[in-house]
Amino acid sequence: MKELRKLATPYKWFMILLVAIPVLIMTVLSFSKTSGVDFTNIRFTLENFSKLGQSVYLEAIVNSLTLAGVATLICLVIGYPIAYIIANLQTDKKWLILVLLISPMWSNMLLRIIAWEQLFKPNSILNSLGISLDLIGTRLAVVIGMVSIYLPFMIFPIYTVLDKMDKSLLEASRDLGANKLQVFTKVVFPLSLSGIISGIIMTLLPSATAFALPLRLGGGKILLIGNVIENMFKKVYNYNLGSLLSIMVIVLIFASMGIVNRDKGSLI
Amino acid sequence: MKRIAVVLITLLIVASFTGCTGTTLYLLNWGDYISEEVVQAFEEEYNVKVVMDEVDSNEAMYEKVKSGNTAYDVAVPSDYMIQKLAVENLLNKVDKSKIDNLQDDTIEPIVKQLMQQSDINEYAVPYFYGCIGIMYRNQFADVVNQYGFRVLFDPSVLPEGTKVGMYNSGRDAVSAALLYLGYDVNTNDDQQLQQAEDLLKNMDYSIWGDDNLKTEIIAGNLDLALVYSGDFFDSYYAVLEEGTELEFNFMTPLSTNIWVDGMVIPTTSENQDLAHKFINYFLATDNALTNVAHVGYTPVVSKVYDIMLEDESWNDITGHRYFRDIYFDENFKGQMYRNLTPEHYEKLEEILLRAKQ
Repeated sequence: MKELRKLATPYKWFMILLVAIPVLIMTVLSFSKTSGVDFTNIRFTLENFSKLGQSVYLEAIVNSLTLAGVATLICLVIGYPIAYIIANLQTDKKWLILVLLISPMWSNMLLRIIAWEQLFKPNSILNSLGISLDLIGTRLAVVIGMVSIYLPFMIFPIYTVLDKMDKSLLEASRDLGANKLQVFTKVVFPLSLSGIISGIIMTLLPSATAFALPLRLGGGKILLIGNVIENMFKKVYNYNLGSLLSIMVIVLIFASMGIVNRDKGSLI
Repeated sequence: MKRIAVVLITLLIVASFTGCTGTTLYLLNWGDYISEEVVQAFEEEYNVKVVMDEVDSNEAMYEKVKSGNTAYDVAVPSDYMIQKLAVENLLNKVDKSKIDNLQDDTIEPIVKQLMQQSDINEYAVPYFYGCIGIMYRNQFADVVNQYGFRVLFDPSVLPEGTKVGMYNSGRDAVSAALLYLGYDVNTNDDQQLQQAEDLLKNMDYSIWGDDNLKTEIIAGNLDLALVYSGDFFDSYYAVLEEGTELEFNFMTPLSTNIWVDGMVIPTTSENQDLAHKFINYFLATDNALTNVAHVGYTPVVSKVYDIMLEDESWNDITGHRYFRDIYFDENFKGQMYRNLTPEHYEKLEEILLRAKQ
């Protein structure tokens, strides 16, 4: 195994160069006032933080968390039964179903967003079926988009856990007199919690930080934190506030992962 | 067009390695914003190579010029960005004595006057200009022509259920509101900005967009929207070419924002003489006309417009109300974007964010 570790060296440098150093630069930018990434006239200050309290930025964060939260919940409600059914299928064609589930991910995400956008407009291909949706600019459109794009990320971790579950545990619980519902609530569900948690992380995080999706499906009306950050860099050229908001998102992500991991430890 | 441009650039790069060691002119331009024909003619006439880089925003242009990685000889930023570059000493002054084709009466008076007001006359020679205005579906022609910018902010003048689109940019959205209110587009007066914010806030826009505004109007998903004249003309020429029915049009409010893209010579230039020759070349009447035919925007050279007026094949364009207003209406007033402080930009963007709340 030790020899194999050397193979990770390029990855290590890759991470240092493209993740660690940029995060470090963004941290410095968060605590200072510069013009772009030009550090010549750098001035250290905390004034970026005072902006955070403004309602526009708070609302973007709240928006991101609520919409992503709702989408994640829907993904869980849809995804868990699917994962459960696939895991319990008595067939050797499971791989086929899994491939079908992954296949949408083979097409570009942006393309799928634009496809939804086309369908959600009042004048769309659906008109030939007598349907005219007018969903662009609504929260519903954004949530539908998030669910459709991130659903596979919810199904797979749950499926993996359910599939690997030791079936003798189920037999044992039945031997001890548990009915079907009890087997599920007392054995299957608790044992699949780790899959649910990875699923939640893998859907919540990308949907909370999405920016192309709310821009296209939200008609530019629904602001998520990703849009605000993009604006800061591309339009306002305030790299400092943009960096601070990005760092905040990173902190929020790590904090939630930390809480989830701690809870996971106590649950199992 | 883009693909052709890419192929051409590649060819040019290859040629510059294999061919004679002629001089090279590095041009920083917008996508599909120059006639290759004129560029080739220039290359042949002066036995040089032109290497072109394309960007899609003024900010990207600024970053490229500032970084100095490529020694650009000529760039084509817009008004406010020229100002910013000039203030930061990133531009050489254009030596007008080296540009024979630039006489006192060469450039459209309105363009010249606005450039002087913005203090960018010494640093730039205008390339194309245009304005912001309202693109609308034809059934809204009456209301748009009657009320101008008001249709973007006052639902009471619009039929029930009209779908209005707004530019998803603090600068442009706020400017449209300020123009409607009759204020200066560059104002930093909190009270005036507050009024603009209230207007944007009270209006329910179907879409906040950019390039998609024009396509949504064509598709019938929007009825009217604030767009740049260039956005309209791109769509207009596409329809003219296809020969399909024109279902949309463009209205130029008589008091509006005028943008001017100007050719500048960044301080990175290692070949200033050639840069001046290049600028001079594009001011020559016939070259400018060929360039207009390709790009399709409003020419800055007065003589070019005169020629267009005389030639019937230009009727579709010279007869368009936009051209009539911008060239002849004596009430036409233009205001040019000035470069603002970072705090001011941030304020505008925050107005936009609050308007969407």
